[in-house]
Amino acid sequence: MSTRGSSTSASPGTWPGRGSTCIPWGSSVAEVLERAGGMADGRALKAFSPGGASTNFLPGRLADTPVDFDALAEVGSAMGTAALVFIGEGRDMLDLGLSQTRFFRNESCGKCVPCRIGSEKAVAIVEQGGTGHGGDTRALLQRLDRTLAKTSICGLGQVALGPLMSVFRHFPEETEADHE
Amino acid sequence: MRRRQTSTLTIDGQSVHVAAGTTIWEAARQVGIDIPVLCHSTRMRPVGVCRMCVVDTGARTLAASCVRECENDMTVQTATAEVIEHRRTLTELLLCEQPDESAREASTGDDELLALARALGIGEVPFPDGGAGHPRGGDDSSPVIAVDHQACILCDRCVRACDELQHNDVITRTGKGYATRIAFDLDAPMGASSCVLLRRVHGRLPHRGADQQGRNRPAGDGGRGIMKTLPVRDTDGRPDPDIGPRGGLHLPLLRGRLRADLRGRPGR
Repeated sequence: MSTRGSSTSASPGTWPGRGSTCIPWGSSVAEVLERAGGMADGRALKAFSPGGASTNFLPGRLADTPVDFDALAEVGSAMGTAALVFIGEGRDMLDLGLSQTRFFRNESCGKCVPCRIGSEKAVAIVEQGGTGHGGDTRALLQRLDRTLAKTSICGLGQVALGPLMSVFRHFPEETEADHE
Repeated sequence: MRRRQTSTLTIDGQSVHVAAGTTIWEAARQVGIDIPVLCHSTRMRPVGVCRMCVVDTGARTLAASCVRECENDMTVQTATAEVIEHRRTLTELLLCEQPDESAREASTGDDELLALARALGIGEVPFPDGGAGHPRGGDDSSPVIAVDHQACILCDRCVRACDELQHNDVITRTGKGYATRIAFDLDAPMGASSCVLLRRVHGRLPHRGADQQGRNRPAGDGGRGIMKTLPVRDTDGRPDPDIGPRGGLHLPLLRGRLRADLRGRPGR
């Protein structure tokens, strides 16, 4: 473990114990959830977002990951603001991913091409249920994600498609065109 | 610590020695490497908004070469497969917003965006069409210059030209994000704004956001132009074509480079 001490974690989401809590460094995501009283309605943990709107979603099976910079980066997400969001079984992951990208699209300052146009096109593609050209939706969005991540002026554009792509990665069955 | 006066860096395997403050784009040009640009113009300060000029410096993200200064021992790659792919994606993003026809390409044949698309071999654009139905609209309030917001790529050249070259500070951006567009004064119609319709401004555009009315005239029209008085507001705010800004002295507005070339000449 590369860091020590305590961490404050805020946890909105589908469980009763909302708010901030202070945890020993190295505590797992699952331990934070347990501290907060578990999921509402006894639902299973489907997924979580460890650190705010810009961090990638992770499946529930990775809940043993420590709330730690390196550990969360290793599993493909990030500590971010440690604002944990716990998502219960039954939630539509594509809808959640899209809502994050819509947020960044709405907040884009509009200065640079990749973020200004790219975030809007990503939203449009998902809203219309695919590329509309019969092409590979996932591949097109991945290409968009790469360009925003590498060429945007600032961090907003760089992460705008990240959460959405993490849904494609971890919950591909929910991204099929005929998913309901 | 004394600031270095020069830097030596490597661009696409070539060693380049430059003065401090030289940008990567400028250094590349010195050794014959032309990095594509859309928003950049050598006559104005760089802003790095189109991202077409991005290069790989080995950092986490790609750097806009028009704004990034050279550093000693920097290694730059301007045309890796990854960089080219990003240029294609950026060009496709711009193209999917365009109206079907480019008036600039039709009139003077120098639409820089279309030229870039041809150079990159872009065929069908895979992104949803944002130009259909011309949602961003236009502004035909000026008697001489028509603005097509749908064709505007927000390169910021008009804004910088009005600020830095003409010091009139008329053009700005309004809105945010995807809805951003250029505006005159506090988003007045162009013909009712403090814009004085200088050819220098819209002649700088890489593409075609603003073009002159009567563009059906042959492209080789330079010199024989439209004589048009500058509009001055009457008391109801309507432009009065008979009154010039000095109370009766008409200032002809010459189309073409003639006026811009005559400015500052002795005897003018």
